Amino acid sequence: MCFPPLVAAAIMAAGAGMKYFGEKKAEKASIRTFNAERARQRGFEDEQHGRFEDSLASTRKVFDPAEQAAAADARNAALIAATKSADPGAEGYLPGSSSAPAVVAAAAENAGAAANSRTAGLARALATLGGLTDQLQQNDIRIGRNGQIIGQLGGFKRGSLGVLQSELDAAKQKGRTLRTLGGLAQSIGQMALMGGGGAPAGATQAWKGVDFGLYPARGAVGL
Amino acid sequence: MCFFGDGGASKIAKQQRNDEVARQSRIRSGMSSIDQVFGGFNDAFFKKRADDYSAYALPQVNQQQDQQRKQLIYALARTGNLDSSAAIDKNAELVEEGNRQRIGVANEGLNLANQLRNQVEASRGNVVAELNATGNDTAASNAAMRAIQSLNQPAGFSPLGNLFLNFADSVARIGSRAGNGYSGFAGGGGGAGLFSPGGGSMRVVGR
Repeated sequence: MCFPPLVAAAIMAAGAGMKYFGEKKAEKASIRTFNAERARQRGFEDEQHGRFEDSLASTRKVFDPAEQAAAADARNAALIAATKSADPGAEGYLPGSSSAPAVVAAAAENAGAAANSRTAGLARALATLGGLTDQLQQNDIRIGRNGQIIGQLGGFKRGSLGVLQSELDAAKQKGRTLRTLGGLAQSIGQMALMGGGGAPAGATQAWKGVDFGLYPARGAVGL
Repeated sequence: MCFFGDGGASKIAKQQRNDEVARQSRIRSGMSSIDQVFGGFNDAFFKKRADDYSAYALPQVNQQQDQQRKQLIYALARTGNLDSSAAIDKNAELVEEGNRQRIGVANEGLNLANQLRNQVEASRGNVVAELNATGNDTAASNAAMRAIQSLNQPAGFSPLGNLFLNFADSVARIGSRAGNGYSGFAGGGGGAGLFSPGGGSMRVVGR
């Protein structure tokens, strides 16, 4: 049997439509997959950027005079605390000094004050040096830890990207059934058209009796 | 040939994604474990380390200073200068030297704490690197514990050397010269001393 040209054309058109929707489905799935990965990558990048900014902010603090002073103060307090003698009374005492004339006592007091002043100056100078070292160390640790996380997130990005190809391959398979059926319908319609109008006699003859199971056999319906 | 389905592509992709999400989750969980294990190494811990060093070294400084004070008193008594402005100066010099040594000890304690901080950070970095390489949070947690144990090994500290060597030298020279019983008073430099020549027992007050 042969299809009427109109039916053949309709089958072909339906096939084309199915193919189109199948391809659209694959395209949409691919775009959805790509966008999902893009969002993941963006999330990792934002996290990395936050860590990077934190490192910059931490480094800026090293140059902040207030931060420098705070670090020096902290170290200075520890140094000065150490100068507090366990027995300060014994330190200044010399036998016989208790009965020394007032002028000797005053001299002792002056000498002690001068020594304390020099000690305080030494502590402050050392604390300023050490305070900066403390600051730099804290900064190094912070930058190092941020670097670890940034590297880790880089690993996450690569790992996630590694899965993308498989997901895109899977997305391309979406609508495969529609595309297959559509292609089949297109082929059937095309062949039916060729058989039904303008095709060589032999070809027409060859297609006679091919009904692809879509119509009942001629005899069965009394045609 | 199969016209329907996707040949398992979706299943494979889904499995791969799940594996990757699980890997990332393990790494994040491992980082939490590392932070938790290393969390004990906080400012208070390192301050205690510095304090511990001071507690170890300061008594030695105090003891050495006491000894020097006694030597100074003996030297001053020998030369009859116990109640003099020179004695006051010398004693102030000893107090200042003692404070300088204490500051040095405290500074060393802080530096040791910083060194330990660097060691801890290096250990932490190694554990994090291990976690990143393996993606195994349990192994990373165990590695963190091992790192902590190795950090807890006691460090050996030798007793402090003679911190007052220069001062002791200047005290030993008090009265050491027949012509100048007060050498050793000039800031440890020896030689001429504070007083005019020939004044073996001159007492100076109220400089």
